[in-house]
Amino acid sequence: MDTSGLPEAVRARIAERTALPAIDKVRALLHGYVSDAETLDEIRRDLRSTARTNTLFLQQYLTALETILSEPQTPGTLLRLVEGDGNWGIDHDQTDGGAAVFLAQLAQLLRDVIAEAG
Amino acid sequence: MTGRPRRAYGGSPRAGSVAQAQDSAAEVARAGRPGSGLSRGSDDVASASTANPDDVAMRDVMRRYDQLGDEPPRFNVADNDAAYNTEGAHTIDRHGPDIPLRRDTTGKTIEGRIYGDDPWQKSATASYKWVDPSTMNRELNRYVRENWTAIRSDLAVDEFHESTFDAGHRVGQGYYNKGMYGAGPREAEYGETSLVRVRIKVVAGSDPAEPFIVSAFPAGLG
Repeated sequence: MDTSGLPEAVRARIAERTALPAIDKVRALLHGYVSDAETLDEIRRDLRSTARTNTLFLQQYLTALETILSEPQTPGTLLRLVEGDGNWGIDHDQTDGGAAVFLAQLAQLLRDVIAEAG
Repeated sequence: MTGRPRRAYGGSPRAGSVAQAQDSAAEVARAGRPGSGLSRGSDDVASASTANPDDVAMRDVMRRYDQLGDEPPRFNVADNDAAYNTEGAHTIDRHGPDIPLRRDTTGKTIEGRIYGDDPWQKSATASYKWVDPSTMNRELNRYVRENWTAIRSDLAVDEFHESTFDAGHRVGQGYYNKGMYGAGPREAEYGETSLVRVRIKVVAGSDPAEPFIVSAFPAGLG
């Protein structure tokens, strides 16, 4: 593919975001789509809106989420992601295990909207 | 509570190699709508230059980039929210300076969001509002002006930009849950913050591309 027409600023920005560690991509996902949302339906609506345009970064977020969930994390990491970065209360199970359940639900949401757009 | 410094996406870019950028650009086209599903194999990349959907996706990225222009837009948050309410704009509704601070279960309050009081639909860990309209508009527009290169690129690619930045002074007041991270029962604690989170989108299907603020709000937690 001839990408010479793509402005350098866009290519640099894509490279910058692509190079972020998985944990930072998950935080970007939570900050962008979860932290100010009131419901899962609102999260789904915003993700779907982006997916209809381009799934590049949503796919990266999904891969990052799967990495974070499948690899050992420092105790408290998942809980801080959900309650802190995601601004999402999980009083019913304030543990890394409880946070993992929420993050797995978010990963499934991402898979669904990416599949819909595909 | 004053926020610690944060790196906005637009600052100090860590650009990768040219090859990495070119690979990523190819991914943009492959992931773009319409067309090209995720089931595409690597073999398809080689023929992407002749695949019409990819070309369309690349043209859409370029169209948005060109239409958004070199000059950053200026926003008035109240006007923005009125115009794009149906698109999901809600800064005033959830973080407006006029929302009462202290918990009162007869109406919407900033503190009440910590507990999920009606009309909030769930409990939050942090809930902050802008200290006043002029701070809100000034800080938002300063951020957009200083980070337009990154914002414009993000909006061109998938019509979405988010970032968190430190305004360097008090911009918001509100509450955070003192019992977060399993520290104890849910309990709202008053705090002030200099952190701001911004989310910007392009109106779906707009041509020329029309950016709007989904929400820009003081973020008590980084």
